[in-house]
Amino acid sequence: MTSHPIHSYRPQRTAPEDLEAIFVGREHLLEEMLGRLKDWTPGASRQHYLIIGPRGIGKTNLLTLIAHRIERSPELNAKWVPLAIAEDTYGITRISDLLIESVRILGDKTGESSIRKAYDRVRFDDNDARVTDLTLDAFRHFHKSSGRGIVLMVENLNRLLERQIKQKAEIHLLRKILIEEDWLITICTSPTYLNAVTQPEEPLFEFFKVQLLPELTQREQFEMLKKRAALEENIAFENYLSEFRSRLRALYHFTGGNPRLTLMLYDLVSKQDLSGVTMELDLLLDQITPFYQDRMKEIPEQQAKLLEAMALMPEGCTPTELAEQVRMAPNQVRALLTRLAQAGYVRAEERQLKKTVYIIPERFFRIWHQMNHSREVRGRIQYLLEFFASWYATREERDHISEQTVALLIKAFRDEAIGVRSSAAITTVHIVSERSMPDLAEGIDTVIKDLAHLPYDEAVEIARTLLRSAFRAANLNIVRGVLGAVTSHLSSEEILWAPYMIAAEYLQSERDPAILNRQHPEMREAVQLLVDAFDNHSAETDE
Amino acid sequence: MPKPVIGGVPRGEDLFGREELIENLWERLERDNVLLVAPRRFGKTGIMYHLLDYPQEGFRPIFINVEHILTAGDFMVELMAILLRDHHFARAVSSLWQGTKGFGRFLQNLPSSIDLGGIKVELREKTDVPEKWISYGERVMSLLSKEEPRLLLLLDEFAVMIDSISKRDSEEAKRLLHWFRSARIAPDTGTRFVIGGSINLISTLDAMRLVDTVNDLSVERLQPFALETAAAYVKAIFASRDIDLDSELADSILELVGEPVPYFLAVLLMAILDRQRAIGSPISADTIKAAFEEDLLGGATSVVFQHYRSRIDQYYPGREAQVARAILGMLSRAGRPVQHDTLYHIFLQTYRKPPSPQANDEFIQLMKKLDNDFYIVSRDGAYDFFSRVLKLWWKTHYGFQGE
Repeated sequence: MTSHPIHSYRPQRTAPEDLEAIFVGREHLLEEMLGRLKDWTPGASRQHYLIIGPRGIGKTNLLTLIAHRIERSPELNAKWVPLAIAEDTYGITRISDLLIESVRILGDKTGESSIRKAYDRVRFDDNDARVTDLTLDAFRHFHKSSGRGIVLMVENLNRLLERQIKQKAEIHLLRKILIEEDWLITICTSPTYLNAVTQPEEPLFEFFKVQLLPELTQREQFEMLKKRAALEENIAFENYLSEFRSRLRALYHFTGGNPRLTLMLYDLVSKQDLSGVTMELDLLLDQITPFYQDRMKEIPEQQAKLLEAMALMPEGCTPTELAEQVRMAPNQVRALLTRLAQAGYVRAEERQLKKTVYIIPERFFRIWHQMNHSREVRGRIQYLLEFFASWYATREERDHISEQTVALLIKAFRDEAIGVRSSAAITTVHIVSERSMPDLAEGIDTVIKDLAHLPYDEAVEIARTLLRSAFRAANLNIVRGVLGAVTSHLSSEEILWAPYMIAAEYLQSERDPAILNRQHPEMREAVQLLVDAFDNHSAETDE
Repeated sequence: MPKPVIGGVPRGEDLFGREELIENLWERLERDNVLLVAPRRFGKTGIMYHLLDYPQEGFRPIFINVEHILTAGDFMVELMAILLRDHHFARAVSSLWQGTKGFGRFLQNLPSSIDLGGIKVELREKTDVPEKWISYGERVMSLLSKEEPRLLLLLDEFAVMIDSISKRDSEEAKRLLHWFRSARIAPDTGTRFVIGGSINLISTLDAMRLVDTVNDLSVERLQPFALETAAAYVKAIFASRDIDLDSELADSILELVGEPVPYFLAVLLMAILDRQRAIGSPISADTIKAAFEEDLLGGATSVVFQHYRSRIDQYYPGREAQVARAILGMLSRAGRPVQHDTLYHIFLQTYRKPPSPQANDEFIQLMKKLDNDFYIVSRDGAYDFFSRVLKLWWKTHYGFQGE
């Protein structure tokens, strides 16, 4: 095994070849952007980009890769010089500051004496207009003499425009430069939409091609882990990955397809012997806690109060609902939400009937808050995690449970002869459903009572299997029967059966969306799996 | 082959479907100066750049984006600098400083490393152009009025500049507007001007009682694409990606968009292409529908429409805003154009007025305003939303509000 450190928080420190090696899911975007850069000729249209996505989604990775590919390709390198403004450059409060920093980086990168001289001339000049004019001249001269343009990469554009630069006249100046200077293309990032780009009265309204970076799909997440393991020649992990896959799918509902968390998961799982999905989630939360704690410390207290409250509420709350929860005036809450949105911690979304709700887009950040809150909430997450782990259980795991289930059902219904096969649980439920209601109810009750004699975890798992099967058989009677029986004989903790109960309620109500809308996203996803199974939309996938 | 350009300025063949408009502009410019008017994202800057990149014989265009300018002196510095940097006009403009030391000598010995920026620095710091901008303006315009080829000055974001200057010094803004008008209407001047203005320019100047400073300009209102142009654009965009799009699918795209506002069309086409590339399979009706609903109506672009909504409160005073919203809400819910009388009834109801000739006049004025501002269009005595996309968005978000 060889060591290839991947810096989750500072991808610029990661060897570009290593970033390439683990790159997944964004190939088409990268190709599109590089294609445009390659095709560009003087006088042609220039497309400026704004990449938006929550923290850890891979924005900096993408920029680093673009820069790397430009430098590695003779054709692109002949046309463009990538200049990356560091993510945490707090010293930029005017366009002249941005230009000074850009010319400094260009000078360092190319060693061009004319550029270095230009930098030396302007770096202490406090006349903004002069600095702007002279640095632009330096870039123009560089472009004429070298034939190369500049790809300016600016991270956290939201902070730059809404907290650092702010003045409209400055932003008008930026827009003028971006329109008129034929040698310049910008690729910017932001954790969130920003007023500077979305408000029609703002100079940069719709100025960029906005690209939302989505979360990785489950497949892409798996792919990333495989590539990560391959990079380090970690054969043991590669072999383990298939076994780990079902738990990975369960964890996905809590981590989302966040690349940073995926890499953290690799670090955890490849270095430790972890026995289950709960431990994996716990350790991941441990790992991320210092980072999230630091983040919370940075956020002003009142805003932090709102964030915490939002994390515990069902996803998507209006300012009025939130104000009630935190016992603050709605106007004050609105103002605080605006600031949180500008910083990228929350996002406004339009829902039905033009209602604006606010969500925390970073899923794991929300989960982290919830886990810190109370035992009850922790319990809910844990049970949900088990639901998903069970749902995605491997064929072998399901076979084992099915055999037990079948044995119990044979005992309960006595005269039924049932073949034992890997999907026997489904077959079993189909046979059972043909019987009359009194027999069915009695049979189910007997089965569940018998389960109670098994070790608790095993019993619960079998009960879950029965419930899943009932949904797959599209039989709400059996679902209701099992739910009634499990709460009587196994555990009355409703939280344990929550996804099934909510799914049953949803189906019984003829799919009243309000039932789902008041749930957290993870619960909605769990319910959706059951509903899809009910609608025959889900297949038991074997990995 | 054209490529959609989102937000930036389409150049060359990326500016599609404006040939006739541009031909008309050149014809007009033989006699008149032009005010190019359209909502944001209709393509004014692209057209101005086209005039710059492909000048007609007899004209030499200069383009200036003036949105960053805060004083009339800054404007004159910007104008002079760009003229001094132009090989053709530099000689004439330099003559203003002929024989002088300082700036005159600077101009004579201009090194290649000095570009526009360096000239602006010198003009600001070593000359009295910022202070005596009117005098310099008059002289330079006079010098250039007989130039061959003729100077064609393309001024983009003119309204923004006037707004910025007037906020600092309304008298200076007036003087600039008056000077500018006199430069345009000077007898026998060959110089021509194209001013890119948002739809708010006239109402902004009206509020300042300065609308007469632009009454010499020939107004050109940018329209969406004609249907045939839009169809050709769709075909060309897909052809540029080697995609032979089924004509039925192409028609469905145009049907979804309705009035083919170039920006909406470009965004939708890009969204379809992005989706197609991501899923790797041929474009289907589902792809198009998803792109329309999620990326155009529901995505980042939906904020375009919010602009139309918030403009009502900003530029339609008092009760007029309420009436306008009621009318637009009604139109958004209607499956077809709504008759004049029906909307007049809503007008009277909202205003709580009895019918009268005066009320009718006020109603017609309001409808004209909504038409001018690209909300609605009138056909055969009935009204409808100008853009189907806007109509759908309006219906979803505001159509059922009790207004």
